[in-house]
Order: sequence, then C-alpha cells, then structure tokens
Amino acid sequence: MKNPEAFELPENLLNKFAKAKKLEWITIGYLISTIILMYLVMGSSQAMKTAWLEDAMGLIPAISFLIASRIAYKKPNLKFPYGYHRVFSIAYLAGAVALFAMGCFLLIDSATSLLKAEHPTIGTIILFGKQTWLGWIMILALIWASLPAVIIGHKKLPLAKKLHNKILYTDADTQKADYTTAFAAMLGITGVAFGFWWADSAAALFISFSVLKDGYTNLKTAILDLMDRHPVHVDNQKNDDLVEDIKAKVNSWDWVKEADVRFREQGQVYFGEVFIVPNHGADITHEIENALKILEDYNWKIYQVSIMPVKSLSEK
Amino acid sequence: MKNKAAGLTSLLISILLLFTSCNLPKDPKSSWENAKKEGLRVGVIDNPPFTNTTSESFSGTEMEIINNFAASKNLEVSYLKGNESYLIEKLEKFEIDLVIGGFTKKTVWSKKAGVSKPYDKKHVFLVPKGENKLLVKLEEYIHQNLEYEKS
Repeated sequence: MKNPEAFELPENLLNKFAKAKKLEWITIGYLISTIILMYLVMGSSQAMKTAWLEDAMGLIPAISFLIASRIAYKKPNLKFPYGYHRVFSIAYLAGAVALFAMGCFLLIDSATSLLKAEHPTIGTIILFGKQTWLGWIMILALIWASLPAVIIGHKKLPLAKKLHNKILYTDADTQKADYTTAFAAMLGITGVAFGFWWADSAAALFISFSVLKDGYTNLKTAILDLMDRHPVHVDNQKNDDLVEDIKAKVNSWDWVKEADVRFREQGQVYFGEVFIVPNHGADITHEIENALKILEDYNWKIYQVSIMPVKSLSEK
Repeated sequence: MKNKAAGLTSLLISILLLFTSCNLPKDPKSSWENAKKEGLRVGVIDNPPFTNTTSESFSGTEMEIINNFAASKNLEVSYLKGNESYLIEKLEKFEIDLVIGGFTKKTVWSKKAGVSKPYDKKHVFLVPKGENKLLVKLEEYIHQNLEYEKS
C-alpha cells in the first residue's frame, strides 16, 4: 500500500497546484472588483442585473476550490479512513446546485420582465465632472467584467487539465466564455440606446440560458462522478484510457492468467480494484506486493489500488 | 492573447465613443420628439410648496423649474391637474411626459415610473419608464442649472 500520508500530487504538479491557487485568489479579487463596479452602474437594466448575478456566481467555484484544497490533502484518520479526496467532488456538486438554481431564477426573472414589457429607465451620471448617459458607463463596466476574465480563464485551463480538477476546469471554462454573456449585455444596452426597450430583457434572457446551461452540465457531471462512473477526462468527458491501459498491463504479466479492473474518481485521483486469476504455481503474496508498487508508480492519478486474487472472473 | 484583448478593448471603446457622439439614447415611445412638436405634457399633483393648483394659474417651486426647463429647450408646456394614481396611470400609457408634485427619490411609484435624479438632493420628477432621451434632457438641465449641483 502506498503510504497514505504521501501527498496526493507528484513533485512536478505541486507547483502547478500552487499556481492554480494563486490564480484563484486573483480571480476572487478581480471578481469582487467587478461585482462592486457592476452594482454601482447597474441601474434598472435587467441585462446588467443578470450579468451581475452571473459574475457573483463566479465566486463560488473559486472559493470552493480554495476551501477544498485546504481539506483534500489531510491525512486519512480513523474517522475518514479513505482520506479527504472526495471533498473536491462535493464542493463541485454544491457549486453546480447553486448555479443551476440561480439559472432557473434568472430565467424566470428575465422572462417575466420581457413579458411585462418592462422599459428600462437609464438616466445620467456625473463622472469626472462630465454628464454621461449611464448606459455607456455600463458598457465600460462590462468590458472590465469580460476581457480580464477571458485571460484568467485561459491561464487556468491547462492547469486544470493537468491537475485533473473539475472545479478548476469548470471555473476556467466558464470564465473563458464569459465574453459571450458580457457581449450580450452590451448589445442589450446598445439596443436600449437605440430605443429598443426589449433588447435589455432579451439580452438578460440569453444570459440566463447560458447560466442555466452551465448549471445543468455541471450538475450532471457532479452527480455522475459521485455515482462512481468510469473515470473521464475533465475537458471532453470521454473515458480516461488509463483504466484500460492498466487492465492491459496487468493482463500482460506472466503470473496472471486473466484480470479485470475497476476504478472510480475521488476528486482529483482514482481509487480502484484489480481482480486477478493467477497462473498455477505463482507466488501470489509476493507478486501482489510487487504489482501494487508497479501500479501506484504507474500514474499519479492511480492513488489507491487493492488487488484481489480470485479463482475466476465474474461475468459483468 | 493579451494583445488581442487590448485590441478588442480599444475597438469596443472607440465604438462606444462613436455612439456617445451620436444622438443617443433614443426614446422607445418618442416622448422627447413629440414634446418638441406638440409640447411637453406635465401632470401636476397639488403639493405645496412644490406645486400649488388651487389658484387659476398653477404655481410652486417645481412649476418654476419645469417652466424654465421648457423655455430653455423651446418647448410648449401644457399642464394637467389630477391625483397621483390617475396621473401615474396616464404616465404609464405615455399620455403625459412628466409628473411633478414634490416626489422624493424614495417614491413608492418607482416601479411604475422612471425617476429623475434629484434637483435638490431629495426631490425628483417622474418620467415615463424607459423614455431615456427625455430623462437625459431633463437631467442635463438639472445638472447645468440647479444650484446644488454646482456647489
């Protein structure tokens, strides 16, 4: 068995993890600045309100990543004999539920505002001694709310793939696409400037759909992971071939007649079992001891494996 | 990536500057254009000292502001006396352009009407919802001509 006190990540990923944590702190600072700015200029625009709440929701993955990362690497103990790896999956589920609920609320809110034909009233603001229509300032705020987010998102994305961390990946992926919702809000405000009152609610509706869609996708992924499905890649949700690689590797050993494996995700890492039908005359305990070493050194994601010698493989 | 973002930002800001130089925002229901052609229709609620409708010709501090505002923009003004719910309903139907009578910025009508910025830190005028050009013109007048803004 691998020393349970060993840190989850290998040496070369430790600095990636530190970098990810730093980026999430930057994200929080940046989002707070955005949320304050948007709140100050939002006026009675539905699109701005929706974009503002969407940005506020963006804090959840960043905060939950940072909290989870403090817990996930605690040593296993009598109360939690498998360690705390799964805290990432739980944080991910909680964030997904919140996002999904907010998506539903925003969708209803925006649809109501469109159906009631709410005309957004947007007045003027004195900025640096000059009187300006607040709508233009809203667009400036939206530029601040989108472009830096795209840059931060692009920086986090490769880290998330390497760390096999879903919260980080979703966070990066939504931020990277943040400009679409900001653009929608900008179009809404510009529409209002040209006298199309409905542009505002329509933009809000578009943003709500995008929040709801993200919420739904995350919720689905979070639930499927907690259901212990076959491990998948964080980016494309395709099966991770690592599991099949291990099966092939185990089957190639001399002392193994046939073998089957199963793994499940526990946050960033995989836990699983290997069932082996040994050849006659194999020194089983010795071989298993060896095999455990080989498998746990095979890839950092393979965190804990149990090997079970059996007479025959059960049909699945 | 950063260059792209910087390029995009400057593009957006230049579009924005182009817009601000245009005659925007517009009114969805053309309240301002109609006021220029047919005069500003003002609903007045009796609320001294802001508005006083007991005598033949209406008077009050807000009457003065609106008269001066209309004069500065060369608008005819017509006044309609009434109670709050009647006049707000007319405002909602875009049948009048302003409602005055000592409303404060915390007015209960803010869901049914657009609220201008206060002309004396507290009191506001009501405009039809979403008639942003009318609102901008009124607020420009408030900003340029009323004392508290200048000090």
